Amino acid sequence: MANIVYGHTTENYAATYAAAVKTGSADANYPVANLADFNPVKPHKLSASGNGAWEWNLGSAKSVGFFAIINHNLLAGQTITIKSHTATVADWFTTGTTVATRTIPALYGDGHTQNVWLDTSAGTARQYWGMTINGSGDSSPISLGEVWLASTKRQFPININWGVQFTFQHDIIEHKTDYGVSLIYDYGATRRLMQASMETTDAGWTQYEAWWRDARGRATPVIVVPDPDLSDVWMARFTSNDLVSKYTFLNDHEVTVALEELSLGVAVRG
Amino acid sequence: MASVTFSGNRARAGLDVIIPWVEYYNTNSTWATTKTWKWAKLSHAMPTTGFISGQVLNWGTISRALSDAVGEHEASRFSWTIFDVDGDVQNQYGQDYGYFINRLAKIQLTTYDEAVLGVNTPLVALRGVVRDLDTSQPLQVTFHAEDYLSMELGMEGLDEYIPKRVISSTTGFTAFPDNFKGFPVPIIYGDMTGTSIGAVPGMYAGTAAFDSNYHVIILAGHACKSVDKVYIGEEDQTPAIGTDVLIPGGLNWPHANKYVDINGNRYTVVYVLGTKAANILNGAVMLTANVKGIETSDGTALPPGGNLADGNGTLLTNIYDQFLHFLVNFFFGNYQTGGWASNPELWSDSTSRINVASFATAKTATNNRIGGGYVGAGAFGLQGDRPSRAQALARWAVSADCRYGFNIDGQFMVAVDDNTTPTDRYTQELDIIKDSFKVTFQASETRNVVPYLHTPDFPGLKWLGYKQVVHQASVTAYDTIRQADPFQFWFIRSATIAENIAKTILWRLKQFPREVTFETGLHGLSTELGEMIYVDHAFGPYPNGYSSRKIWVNRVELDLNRFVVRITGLDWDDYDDTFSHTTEDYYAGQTIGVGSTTGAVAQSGGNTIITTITNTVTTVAPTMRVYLGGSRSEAVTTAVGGWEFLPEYVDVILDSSKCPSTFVVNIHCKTSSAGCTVTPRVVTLQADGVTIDTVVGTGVAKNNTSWTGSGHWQAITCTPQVGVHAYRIQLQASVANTDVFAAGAMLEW
Repeated sequence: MANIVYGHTTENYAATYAAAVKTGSADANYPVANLADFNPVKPHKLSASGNGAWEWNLGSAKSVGFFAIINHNLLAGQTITIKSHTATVADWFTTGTTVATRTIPALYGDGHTQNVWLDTSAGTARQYWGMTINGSGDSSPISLGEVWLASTKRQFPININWGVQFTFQHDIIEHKTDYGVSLIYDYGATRRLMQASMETTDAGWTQYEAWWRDARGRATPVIVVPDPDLSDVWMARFTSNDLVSKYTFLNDHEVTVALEELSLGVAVRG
Repeated sequence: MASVTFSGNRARAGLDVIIPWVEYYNTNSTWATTKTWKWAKLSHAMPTTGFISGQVLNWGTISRALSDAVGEHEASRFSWTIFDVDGDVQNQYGQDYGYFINRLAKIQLTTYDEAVLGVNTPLVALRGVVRDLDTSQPLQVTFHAEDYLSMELGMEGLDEYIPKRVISSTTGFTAFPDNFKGFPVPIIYGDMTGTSIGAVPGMYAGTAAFDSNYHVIILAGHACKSVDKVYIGEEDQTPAIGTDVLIPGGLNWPHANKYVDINGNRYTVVYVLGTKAANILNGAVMLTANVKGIETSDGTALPPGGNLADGNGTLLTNIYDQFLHFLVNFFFGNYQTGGWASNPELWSDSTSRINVASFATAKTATNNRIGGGYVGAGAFGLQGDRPSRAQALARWAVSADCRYGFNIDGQFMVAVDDNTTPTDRYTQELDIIKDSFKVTFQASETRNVVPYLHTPDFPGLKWLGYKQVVHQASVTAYDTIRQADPFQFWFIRSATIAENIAKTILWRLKQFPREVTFETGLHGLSTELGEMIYVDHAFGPYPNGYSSRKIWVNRVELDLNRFVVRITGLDWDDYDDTFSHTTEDYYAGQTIGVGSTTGAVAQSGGNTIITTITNTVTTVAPTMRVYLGGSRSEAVTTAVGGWEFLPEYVDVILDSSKCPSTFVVNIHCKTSSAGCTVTPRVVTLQADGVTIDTVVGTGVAKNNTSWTGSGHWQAITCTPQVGVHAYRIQLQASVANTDVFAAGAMLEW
């Protein structure tokens, strides 16, 4: 398992450089601005089924550490491709240099799809970056909750310790009759929490503190890939407003790493 | 598409992801089109209807209920609190507050599957109008909404009374008398036929435009099916039709139509020649007529377009058709002239504001009670009768023996209890949430004697029908008479129908009512107000509990914080038309409260009359009348010239903050033989429970021997004790010679 990958909140290019729809058109109820509003429940949608492509003009040639797509309606087998180019592109499907490609894995049983991240850190610095998606999402127009363009792919020098605990929450309302028969109503949302500790160096502690401060503790969301060997990525908040670190020895810190995923609401469909 | 339904089986299987939200529509001066806010506890990206923002912090209970037994409205309400995270609402509210109040809001629910697949439309859990915004908490806004009837009843000054139309302008009339300005223009339904004189008193309105020798008498503010007979005083004018008296469509009627349109308002009038009219104008005699009232082109309440309201259609006779027609044209609408409305008003989302089908259902149910159904006949606006809108609704509801409220769509509806086999069943095992079931015995609500009044006599200002139904078995069982306040059937002129309604009321009240409440899941939303349901529960108050027990639902509440529906209803036995009861006279000569506007009470016939007066007292016009005495005769047993108490008295409890400085007692008295005079006076026997026996007003001597004729009424202005708010008031009279006298009185505030 590779060291966890993360990005600083203030390093999300998508929040600074607005995306433009290049293939397809935006649904008026779900504009492209929703791609970077830090609210993955509020998606951007295309107005019709079919391929989609988006372009980010970063103002000057820049590297992008990784892309993350949070809460979408894409189905298994669909492909996301990240490309770059020196000039604006009319059709990203035929133009640009391919930097990364990811095939969407299978749906979860609760109807949610797996978030995906694409490592673009090896790509050349370019002013224009494009994302293409082939085909419709679940036979409906493509819907994307959030796209995060992390300027820098960050990793700690020493990974979190073994023993990391993941908790999944799926809230329901349940009532029972005198006979114990349940009446259950589902909220339809699953959230994940991660509780880990990390024994790290002075450099690792400094890096962690910088991440926490950049996010202003719990205030703003961060992006994190708990296991870079997998395609999954979380948009999350620190669980606590308190940053807890134990300075155990010279160049030895014990840090609590606790994150909770932002609610994705019910699965984006239709 | 049909609306989403929620089934118990799917809830038990946990299959449904529930998506509830509120939509709130408003427009301000800068938004060119209606702005729609959509809020829920959790954000949802609805596939076709846009984004629902997860800003709701709390849902208030969404509550709907039927009116009570005397037709008093119970508001349907809902509320919700949002986290106004960006201050958007408060900012707009601060700038454009007028565009937030009285705007449509509706609660909706769907399931995730339905939202995605779009097979069925979301279920509307209630429509209403926002009446208030509470911004007292930082970055929070609480919206309070209620049904539109509550909104309209709460908007004082806007057409508060029925009829809404008054003679506000005399344009188009000639020599219209000033003292009739501001009088309401009558609305007449059904067959208004009197006995010795007409049932509809006319209103003098000046001279006729077509011939100044004729004078105009207004009967109604719309076209009528027919004017069948006219009386001046007690004289039948049939021989004079076509000469001294002209009636719509009759001989020498000067118009092409049965109606006349004057200054944009439609009227039914008759014309009277010369001195006969002068006697009407000076009050010496009254013109009355037998009138068949409102008709429609096809005899239905809401005929399709093209109906003329010209008097040539079919008379509306069923009380539910009349009630529906009244609501659309006179209560929510304000008919002036032209054809009748074909449809109820619509919500801004194009949904009808009235559930028309519920009137048909109620009509069928009451048709099953009595052959021919409930035939209605009655009026507003006669003799200045102008009740509040709330009272007008109550008159209809009590006369039709129905309850009214708002259905799940936020539509005005009516409901009648009947022997229908229920379709919804709630069982302790599968549906009723643990510990939520309870049965409350309403022992104090038991009534085994139900007095009722019907056939109001507007010319005579009294009720012609005065009976009571008695359930002797209940009297025996409880070892006491529990008499209800009299039910007033303003729109019933059939003794048979009135008795049918009264004994149905008696059936409900004879054994103390039991209120049943329980909570269930969202499938409880399929149960509508006024519906009969089956309940199976071991804790029902029977040896084996409730098993297929019928409950008549009168309240449905939805808690969206818990996804719970709370159902309340009355334990209901199948109505048995043959149940044992007796019918007897209630009391004679009841005077009716014509002209009263708020809280009118017409009571008498015993020494236990108690009324609570809580309306604001005004000295401008009477807002409350209480009657005592009636035409009861009492022989003088004391010496001539001494003061004799009449047996009736009235206990009057006044809100201390609204205690009048004076009140008026209108005395109505006669002696049995000519040459004898009677002098009435008003005595306060008690004040705040202390016997004081204070004379507060004395009238002048009268020597009338008849109840009729002018001058037998006299008003005595009385001055109550300062600061006192509870009185026992009784009449005294003194006669000049040994005689028998009778007296009645009417207290006015």
